[in-house]
Amino acid sequence: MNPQIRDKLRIATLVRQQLRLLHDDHCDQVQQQYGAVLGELDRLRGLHRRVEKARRRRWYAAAQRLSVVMQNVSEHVDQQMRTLQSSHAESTHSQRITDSFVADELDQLTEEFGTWRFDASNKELSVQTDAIELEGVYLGPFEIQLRLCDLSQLEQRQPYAIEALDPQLAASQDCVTHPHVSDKQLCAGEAVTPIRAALKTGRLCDFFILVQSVLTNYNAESPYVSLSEWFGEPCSDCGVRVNDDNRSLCRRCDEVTCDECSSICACCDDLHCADCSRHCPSCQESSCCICTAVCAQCDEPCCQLCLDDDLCPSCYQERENQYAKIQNESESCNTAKTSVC
Amino acid sequence: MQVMFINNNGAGFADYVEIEPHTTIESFLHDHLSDIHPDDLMIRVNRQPVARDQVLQPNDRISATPTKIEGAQRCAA
Repeated sequence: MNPQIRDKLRIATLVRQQLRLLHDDHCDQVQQQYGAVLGELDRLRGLHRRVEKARRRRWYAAAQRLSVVMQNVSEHVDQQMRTLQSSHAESTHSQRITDSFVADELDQLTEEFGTWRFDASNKELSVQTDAIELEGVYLGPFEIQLRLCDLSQLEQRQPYAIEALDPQLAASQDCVTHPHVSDKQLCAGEAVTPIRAALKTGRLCDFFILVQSVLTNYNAESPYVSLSEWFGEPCSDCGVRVNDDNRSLCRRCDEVTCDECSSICACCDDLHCADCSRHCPSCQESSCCICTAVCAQCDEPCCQLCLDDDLCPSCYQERENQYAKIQNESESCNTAKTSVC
Repeated sequence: MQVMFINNNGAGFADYVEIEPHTTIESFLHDHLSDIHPDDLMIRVNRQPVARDQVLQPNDRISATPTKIEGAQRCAA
């Protein structure tokens, strides 16, 4: 048998089986909803009898209270009926899936995407998109992989994955390959409902086109990582691109700086970029330009912690030595005077 | 006459729609999807691309799929 025809038959069989299971689950739910409505109607009938009885016996207060309960129950029934109608409409819309219908879908898939691939071991049907570029950011081509064996679990989990074929990972999150794809899971946004509807009714081609439409568009309001920050920001000192995890903002000039180039001021404990940091030759620590002053004696920069009386430690020491020397000289002079006397 | 319309914008279910004979695909879309510009839709009639002035035939299968759909950050399935 021609391999493509064999794959088409396999796909058609899988799709039919899975959608049958999904349909059965849906029918069970509809039956449960009917049961709930019938239960409420029984309750309503009982309340109606009790109101009649109360009115006959002229228990007007009791009849009034029961009427309020009846109103609440009838509103609940109304709500349940609406849910039931929409569930029923969904069942009615789901047409019978035949092998030829699935084959037509696959033929259309070939027309729209050029080709499709079926992985029989993983029961996965996939197509490739062209290379995608959004707002000047190249994201590469993607493979949309539909796990046919998970179609029956459509209500519980996403039965498809988005694989980046030339991954251009976001700088801040390496699991994000597209602004709307994280860990191969697409957040379909506005397309969630039509995608589900397409899968429920076996419209494979519509499903792939819808997913492709989401991938080729960018919603700046709600991306995993925005395109403007896709490649991170350059460090103002060394130019290396940094993401949220290894970048800092200089406390003084607000420039982005990488961990390597930033330093903590020994005086104020704030982070600063290299431009706003100074090296204190006395303590060998770095300090920011605010916490750095110049020695009044030698004009050398010095951090506030080392500065004493506006002097760097060496000038201060020198001055102290001079004071001590003068004091010693004056003391020895005084001693000599006393001896002479 | 009746045609099948698969509207992939919104709920996305297929529906049979009653239309006048000699209706073109352009006027059909104007009547049923007036809020979307036709350029933002992928239109197929019986799974084939069509010209704007193509006249619809009974039991035609029309599908309209938006080509500009916004994804988001978190969603269920």
